[in-house]
Amino acid sequence: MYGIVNQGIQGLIIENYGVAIWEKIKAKAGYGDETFLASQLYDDSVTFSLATTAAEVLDISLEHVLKAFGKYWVLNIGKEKYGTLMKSGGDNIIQFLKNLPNFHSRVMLIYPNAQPPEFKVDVINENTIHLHYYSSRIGLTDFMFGLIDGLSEFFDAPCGVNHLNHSETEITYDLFEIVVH
Amino acid sequence: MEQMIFNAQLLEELFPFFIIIEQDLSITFAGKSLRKIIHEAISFEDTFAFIRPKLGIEYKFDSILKFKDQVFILQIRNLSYPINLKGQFVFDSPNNRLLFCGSPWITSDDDFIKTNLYISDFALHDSVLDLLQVTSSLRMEYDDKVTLNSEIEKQKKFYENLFDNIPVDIGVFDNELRYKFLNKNSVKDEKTRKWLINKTLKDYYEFRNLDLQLADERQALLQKAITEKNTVRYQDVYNEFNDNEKVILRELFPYEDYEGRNYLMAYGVDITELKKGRDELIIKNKELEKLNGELDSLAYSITHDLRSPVLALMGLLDIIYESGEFGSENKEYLTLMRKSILRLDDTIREILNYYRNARTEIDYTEINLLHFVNQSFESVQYYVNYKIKLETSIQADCPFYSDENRIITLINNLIANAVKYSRENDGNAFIKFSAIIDHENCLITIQDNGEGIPYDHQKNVFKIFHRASSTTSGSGLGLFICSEIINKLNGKILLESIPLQGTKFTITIPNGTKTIEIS
Repeated sequence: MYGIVNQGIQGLIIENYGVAIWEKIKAKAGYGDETFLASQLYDDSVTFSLATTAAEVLDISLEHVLKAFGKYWVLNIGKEKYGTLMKSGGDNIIQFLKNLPNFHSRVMLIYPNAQPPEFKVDVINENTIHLHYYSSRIGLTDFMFGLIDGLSEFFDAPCGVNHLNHSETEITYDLFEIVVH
Repeated sequence: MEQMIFNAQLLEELFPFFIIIEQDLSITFAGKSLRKIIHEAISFEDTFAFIRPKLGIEYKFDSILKFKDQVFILQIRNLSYPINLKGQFVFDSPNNRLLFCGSPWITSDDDFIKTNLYISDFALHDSVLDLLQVTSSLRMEYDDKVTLNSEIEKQKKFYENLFDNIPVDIGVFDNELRYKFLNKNSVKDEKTRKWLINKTLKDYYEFRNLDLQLADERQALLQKAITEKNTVRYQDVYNEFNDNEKVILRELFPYEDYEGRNYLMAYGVDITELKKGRDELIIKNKELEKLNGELDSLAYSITHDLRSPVLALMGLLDIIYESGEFGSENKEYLTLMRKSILRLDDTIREILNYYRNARTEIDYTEINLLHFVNQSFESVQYYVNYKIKLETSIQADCPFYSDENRIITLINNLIANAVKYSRENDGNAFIKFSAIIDHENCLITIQDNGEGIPYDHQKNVFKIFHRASSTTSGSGLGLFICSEIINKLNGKILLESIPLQGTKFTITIPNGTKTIEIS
């Protein structure tokens, strides 16, 4: 994954637990000397290692870390680094999710080695959608929950989320039902 | 709007890379520029691969339709260099077919060169080419960044190397007295060195199991240096009183960087050898002082205990001489005895002179050269039984200041030598004394027309105990003392001599005017 993701984890930990804990996690994961650069490509294992080590050091579940990270991703990284793009994606959560794939595809155009996930939105009714999530990676479903949570807060749209389907073969597939209140 | 009629030509001009696919995914139309690449290909699935979307989509008309709100990236299969088309699918509902409008995604010059595409293949409104310019300049900026980074790395390595090779311990603390930098000499183990960054001195002492009270003392010194903004010095002694004793001189030096941040540099220099050397020097000095004390006693002894009997002897001899009561044989013996005593007295006096020159401070007073020359000549002219003519000439811009005793000794020795080594020369024997005095120097020449000095002796005359001739009186110390005196006064002496013709001494002595002015 591109370094911006690892920077995201760094930001999440530092904001909630401080620099000292982050340094500890980073060192324990084996990257004590590393400075993460946003546009540099790192192996996926780096990100996973950071996440699992964080869970270990903070004595919380990996699920918890990933959910927190998903939310942080939207509300901090997304807002700070992609603020305009996010705003132009739509003024409500449904519109945004419909346009989300285009954003990710464009990321691929600039960073050809990126492997962003894929999404598809089926509109059920005015405030209910089915969000299909496809990823070439395994184990990031919890991150998605965090993401949806973050988007709900960003668009000030409290939602109910039902996890309708989940499969992990060569790819991960999740089906979320999102009901906007 | 619904009735707008398009013909294929218009579409092709706007989208030279468009394709139309039917329900069975066969390609029925393709833009001119695309045809150049895919030629007469008919099957969509055989010609194109889904890049985006990819995981959720299938090669079916209905599937594509479901994703028609999304950006598509299609890769043209079977090319030696891949081309990706970025665009969108549009549903032509009256005709139940899908239209793909898009164009190749170009990000580098390579994409152009290797794909055989030309700018003219693209529609004018297509911003892909504009984007290419932007990415080119971004790439340039990125390359600059890489270059700069490598320069910074080089510099960093240079300074690290410098610091690691200085044979001095260097450590830097930040304002909170945490280690910010340690060079290789201060902590040899690299891992420990790295670990110490942002730790305190106490952390280090704890880690090494060193005396924690000492740690507190040292910490207090560090704090003192930072608070008082002043250098603090102390010495660290290891293995005290052992053969392996090591002494490190440490300095704590607070400083500010260019952004006003406070740092404390601590460096330590091994002064063990220096200290040893100094301690040895102190011992030697004490020995020397003792020796000098003994010499002083000896000189005193010479003055009183040696000279008194000598003077008594000389006095008694004079009495016998003047009484006249001795035979002719005895007269010869008396003369010889007199000569011997005089020689003894000379030697003693010269030893005293040497000692005085070496041990006493220079005392500047105004020198009356003429007076001393005449006085000197008067007392030695009787060494020979013929007449020697003394010529003197003094040329002075100002008074001559120097050490009186030394000048007297100098003149005495040189005049005495000139007399002792003179020749009768049919009554033309002379000694010429001249002095030229200015603010800087006094230039003295003493010239005679005596025996001269044999050439092979000339370079040795100023050496201690050298005597040119065994027949004349003298201890051999005379010229040696002269050269010692001249050295002490920072002067110079030059000897010119032609055997059987004469000898000339040229002496330059600095005029002590400045010293007088200062005092």
